[in-house]
Amino acid sequence: MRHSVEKSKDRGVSRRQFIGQTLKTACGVGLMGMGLGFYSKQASTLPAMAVRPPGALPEDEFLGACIRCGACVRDCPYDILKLGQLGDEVPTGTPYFSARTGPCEMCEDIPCIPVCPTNALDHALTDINEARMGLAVVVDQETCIAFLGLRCEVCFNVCPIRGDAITLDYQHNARSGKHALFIPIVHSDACTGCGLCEKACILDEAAIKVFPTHLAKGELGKHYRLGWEEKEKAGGSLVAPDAKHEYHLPEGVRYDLQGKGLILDAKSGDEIPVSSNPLDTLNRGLEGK
Amino acid sequence: MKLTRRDFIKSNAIAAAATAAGVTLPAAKTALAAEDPNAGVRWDKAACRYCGTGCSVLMGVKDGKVVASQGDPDAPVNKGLNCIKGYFLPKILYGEDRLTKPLLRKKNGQYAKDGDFEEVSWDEAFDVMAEHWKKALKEKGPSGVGMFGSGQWTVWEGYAASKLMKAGFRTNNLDPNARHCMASAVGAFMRAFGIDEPMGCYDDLEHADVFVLWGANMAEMHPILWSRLTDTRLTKKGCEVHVLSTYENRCFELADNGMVFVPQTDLAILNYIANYIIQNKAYNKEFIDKHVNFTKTATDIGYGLRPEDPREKAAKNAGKGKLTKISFEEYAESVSEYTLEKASKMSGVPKDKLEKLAKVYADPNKKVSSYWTMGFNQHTRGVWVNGLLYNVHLLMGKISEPGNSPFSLTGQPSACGTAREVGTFSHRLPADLVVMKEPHRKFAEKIWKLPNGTINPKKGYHAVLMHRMLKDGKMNCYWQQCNNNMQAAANLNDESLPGWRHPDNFITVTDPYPTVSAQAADLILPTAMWIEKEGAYGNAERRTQFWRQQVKAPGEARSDLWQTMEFARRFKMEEVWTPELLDQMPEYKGKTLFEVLYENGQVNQFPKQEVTDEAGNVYQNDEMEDFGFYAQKGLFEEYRMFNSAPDVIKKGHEMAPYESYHKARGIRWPVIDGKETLWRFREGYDPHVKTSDGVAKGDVKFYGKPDGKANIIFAPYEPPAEVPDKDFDLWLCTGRVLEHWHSGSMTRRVPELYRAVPDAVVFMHKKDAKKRRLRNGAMAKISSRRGEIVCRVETRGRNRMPEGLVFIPWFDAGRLVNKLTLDATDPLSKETDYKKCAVKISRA
Amino acid sequence: MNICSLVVHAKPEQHQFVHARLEEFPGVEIHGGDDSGKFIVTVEDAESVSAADTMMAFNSVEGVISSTLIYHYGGDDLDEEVSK
Repeated sequence: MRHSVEKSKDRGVSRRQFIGQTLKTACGVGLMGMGLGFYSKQASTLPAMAVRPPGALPEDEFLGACIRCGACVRDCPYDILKLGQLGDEVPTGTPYFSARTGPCEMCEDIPCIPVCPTNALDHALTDINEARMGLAVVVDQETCIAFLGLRCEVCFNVCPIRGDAITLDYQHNARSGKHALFIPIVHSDACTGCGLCEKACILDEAAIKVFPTHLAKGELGKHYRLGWEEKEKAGGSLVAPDAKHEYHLPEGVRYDLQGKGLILDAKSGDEIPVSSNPLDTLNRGLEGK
Repeated sequence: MKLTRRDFIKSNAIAAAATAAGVTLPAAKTALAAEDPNAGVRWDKAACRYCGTGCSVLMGVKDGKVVASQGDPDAPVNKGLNCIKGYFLPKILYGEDRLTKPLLRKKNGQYAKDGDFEEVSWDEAFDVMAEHWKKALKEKGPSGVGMFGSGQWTVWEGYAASKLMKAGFRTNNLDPNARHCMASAVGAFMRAFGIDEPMGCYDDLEHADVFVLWGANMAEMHPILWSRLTDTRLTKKGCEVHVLSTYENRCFELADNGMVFVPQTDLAILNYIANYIIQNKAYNKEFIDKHVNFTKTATDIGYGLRPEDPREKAAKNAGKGKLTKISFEEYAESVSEYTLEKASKMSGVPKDKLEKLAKVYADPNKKVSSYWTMGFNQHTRGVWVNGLLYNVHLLMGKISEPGNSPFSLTGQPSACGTAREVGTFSHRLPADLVVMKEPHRKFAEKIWKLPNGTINPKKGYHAVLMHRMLKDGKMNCYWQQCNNNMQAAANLNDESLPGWRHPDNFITVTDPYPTVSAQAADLILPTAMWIEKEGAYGNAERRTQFWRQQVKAPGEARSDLWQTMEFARRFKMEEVWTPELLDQMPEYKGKTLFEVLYENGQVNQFPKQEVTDEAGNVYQNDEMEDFGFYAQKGLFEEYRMFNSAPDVIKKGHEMAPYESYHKARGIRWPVIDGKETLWRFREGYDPHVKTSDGVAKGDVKFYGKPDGKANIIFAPYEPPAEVPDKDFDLWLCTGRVLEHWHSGSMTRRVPELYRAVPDAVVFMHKKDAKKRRLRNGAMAKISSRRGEIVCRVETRGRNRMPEGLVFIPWFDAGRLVNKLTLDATDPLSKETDYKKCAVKISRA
Repeated sequence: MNICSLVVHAKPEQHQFVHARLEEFPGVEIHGGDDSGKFIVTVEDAESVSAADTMMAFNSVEGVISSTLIYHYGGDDLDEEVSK
C-alpha cells in the first residue's frame, strides 16, 4: 500500500484526486451500500493520523465549537498546523497536524490557543506540558528495532517530556544472552501527543505513532484496583499485615519472605569462582591438546 | 512461479476488497505473491564503519549495490545487534553528493589558491600535487610536508602511509586523528605498562561486579557495549553502576551512584580514592610489593599552547613528563592531602557518593571494571588522569583478570588497529616502536630494506602542531585522508583555517563527501569508502577484523591505499633521499618511491589472485587489479614482521597470518600458535607470562617494562587552561550524540538519522537559559574568545546540564563548535581538551 | 497505469445478470462474491478506457446498488518481474 501511494505521487496525479473522482462515481450509485458505509464514516471522523492542536476539546465538541476561522493555523510559528481541505479526510476548514511530517513543537506560550475565538482550543490550557493532543503508542513491536535489541531509542531521546512521557525498560536479551533490550514505554500521564517521536522514528513506517487518546488507550475494568498501588497510597496494607513466619532451616540458610526468598550460605551462592569461568576452561582445554 | 508486479498488486487488491466486504475467497485468489527479499543477494561479513566497539555486520550485495544489511549473529561482540547508526550502514555509501572526480582549485585553466574547484584527471591532480610537494621538500626539507591520517583508515592504509612518510619522504610529520582521541590513553599505557592497549577485553562486561564510568557516555557512544553492561547490571546479583561526568548523560539512568563533578576535579577524586585505600589499609600489599614501582611525575607542565602564550611561559616544567622513583610511603604522603572533605569540596560531589565509590574499589571481594573515553583523554592532564585510575587498580591488584579491568574505550573503528598498532603517530613506528630510539629505527630499516639512517630520529609535528606550522608557513604541504580535521580541530578561526588557506600552502583532502575540510582544501581526491575496498580494523579489545571488497566505488573514486601508493610513483629516489643514503644502496638509484617502498619483494610478493569466500563467491579487489599484486596481503604480511618475527624488539603484539582473519569474526592479539589472548599479563591467560620464567601459577607480570613491574605514578590536581570568568561565564563541553558519528559526514547523509537529529543544539540548564532571557527552542549566540556560533537552546533534552556548564555536539557542519574551543592540549600526549573552555551565551 | 479493486453490491435477484454485465467491461475481472451478492471486482486501465471511467459506468448497470473503491495502485512498473 505504501508503495502505491508513493508511486501515484510520482506521477503528479495524486491518489486523492483519483479517489475523489471515483468517489463521485460511487456516490451516484448510493454510497451507503449495506455494510459498506466506508467513506461516509470517514467524512465525519477524524482520521487516526491527524492530530488536533493543543487544547482541542473532545472531537464532537470541537467540531461544534470550531468556526473554521484558521486563526490558530495563522499563528502557529512553526507552520505545523494545517486546515482540512475539500477532499481531505479531515473535516474541511478544521485545524490539524500530521505528526510524521510536522509534529507540534510545544511552544511554551502556546500561541495557537489564545487566538481561538470560540474556546474550541481550550483557553484554560496554559502549560503546554498539560496538553493531551493524543497519545504516542509503540504500535509495532515486531519492527521497532529496540524490541529487537538494536540500540536506537530515538523516540526516547527526542521526547520533550524526557524521562516522563517515554521511559526505557531494561530487559535481558535472551537471544544474545549478554545484551540488554532498551524498550520504550509511553506513559499517558505525561505524553502530550506532540508527535516528535513519530517524526523522528527512523523506520520507513514509524513504529511509534500518535493516536487520539481514545483509540490509543485501553481501560482497566472499573472494579479492579492495582494492589501494589493502593497499598502505596494507603501507606500500608489495607487489611491486617501478614503474621511473622518462621521456618525449619539448616544452618547458614535464611528465608526472606517479602524479598529474596531462600538465601543460601554466601559461599555456595551466586558467586562464580574464577576457576569455573568457561573462558578459563576453554583456554586450558586448548592448551591441554 | 514467474510473477510480475501486476500480479502482485492485483492479489493485494483482491484481498483488500474481499476483507472489506467480508467475503471469503478461495485461497489461490488471495495468496499474496511474497517477493523473496534474499533472492540473488550475496552476503558477506564486514566490521562496522563507526565506533571502536567493533560490531560485525553482514552486507547483502546484489547487482553491485549493497541492498540489505544485518547485524552478524555469529559475532561475539554484538550477536546480531546494531545501534541505530549500524542499522543504516549501507546508506552511508549512497549519499547523493558522493565525490566521483578529483577537484582542483583553478583559475584560467591553471591551479590557483584562490580559484574555484574544477574537475581534473587523476594525472593532473597528482602532477600538481607532486609539484608542490617537491617544491616544499626542496625548500624546507622533510619537515615541509605532512600527512594527517586516521583511526578509520584500514590497517594497510595506515601502514602504507607510515611507510610513505617515514621511509619515503623521511619525515615524521604523520599523525592520525587519533591524536584528538586516544593519545592520552596511549601515553598512559606506555608510562604505566610499557606496552599499548588494554589488558582486558569485552568479556569483562559479563564478569565485573561493579562498573565505573569515568568520562564515558557509553550509553550513546558505545551502544552495544552499553547494552552488555546493562544486561549484567540486570541479571547479576549485587551488580552496581557508578557514573562520573561533568553533566548528567544517559548513563545516569542506569547509575546506582551518579556523580556530576566540577570539570578537572577527576584528578582530585582519583587521588582521594587512592588515599582512602591506603588510609583503610585495603591495598593489596603482596601485589604492590611484587608488581609495582612507585613514581611521581613532573608537575606544572603547561597546556600545550603556543610557547609565547603566557600560560606556557608561566609553567615551570612545560611539556615535561619525567618520572622520579619514590617509595610507597612517599606516595601515601603525596595522596594524603586528598581527603574526603577536600575531594568533595573541589568536585562538588556529596561525600557519601564519593565514599561509596571509594569503597567499591577498596573492597577486595568486588571485581571492578572502569571505562573511560574522551572525558579522560581530551583533558589537559589526560595522561595523568589515565594514570591515576591505573594507580587505583594497581593498589588493589584489580587488573588483568576477568572482571577486574581498567579499560580505555576507543572512539574510532581502528584507532587501535591502525593509528596505534601500525605506528601512524608522529613519534611512532609499527608495533609500539618509536622513531627516537636507534635500535627501533634500525629494526624498521631492516624490515623495510632501507639504508642506515633513513628514518628521521626527530619526532614529527603532531596534529595540533601541524596546524600551527601551516599557519606559520613552516610546513607547506598537507595531505588529509579519511577524516575531517577542519571540523575536528580546535580553534578553527585562529589556527586551522588560516593555516589551510595560507597562500604558500597546498592542502590535499581525500574524502568521499564534500566536507568542511574539502571546502577548505586546494585539491580534493575522491575516495573509495569502507567496503568499497578490502579492509581491516582493530577494535578496542585488540580484535582485528577483515572484510573483502563488496562493491565498487562510484565514478573515478579510488581508495586511500591506491592514492598513497600511486602518489609514490611521482617521486624519483633522488628527489627524496640524500646522495649519501643512495650510495649505501646504489640499486635504488633511478627508481621511484613506489618501487622502493611497495615493489620491494615483500609488499608485492603475492601475485594477483581471485578473492573468494567459502561459498565460492568471487570478490573484486580494485587495488590488486591496478597494481598487479595483492597489495593488502603484502602490506599486512610485511607489517606482521614487526610484531610476529622471531627477533621482534617488543613482544606482545603477535598477529595471525592474513588468511586466518578472513575466516574469523575477528581475532584478539597477541596470537601465539593460532590461539588468541583475552587477558594480558596474567599466567594462564597470556602466553607471554610463563611459569617456566619463574612466574607463579595465575600470577601477573607486566612484561612491557624491563623489570616486569607496572608504574604507579603520582600526579596532583592542576587547574585547566581556561576557566569561566566574568566575561565568559560558562563551561563549554563538546561531544557526540548516538545518532551521529563524529563530524557527521556520513550519518548526516542518512535521511532517517538526519531527521532524528537534524542540527546541533546547545544543552543548558533551564535557569541558565532563563537568566539570559532564553527558553527552550530559542536561538542563542554562543561565543568564546575565539569565535561564535548560533544554535537552538535545549533545556529538556537527553543531557541534563548542571548550572554553569553547557554541552554542544560537534557533528553539525552548519554549526562549527570548534570555532569556540581552545587548542590547549595535554602537554604530554598533545591531545586537545575539547571538554573545557569558557563561553558566554546571549540571545541571537 | 491504475489497478483498483471494488466491492460491487448487486440486488440479489439480479446478481447473475450484473455479474455478466460487469465482465463485459474491458479491464474488469470478478474474483468472487456471487453467493452474497457482493462482488470482488478488479478494474484496470484498458485501451482507450481509464479505470475511473469504467467504474463510473458501473452506475448505469441495472441491479447495482452500490460500488465502493477499496484499493488503488497507480505505479508504472507493473510489468517488472518481482519473483521467479
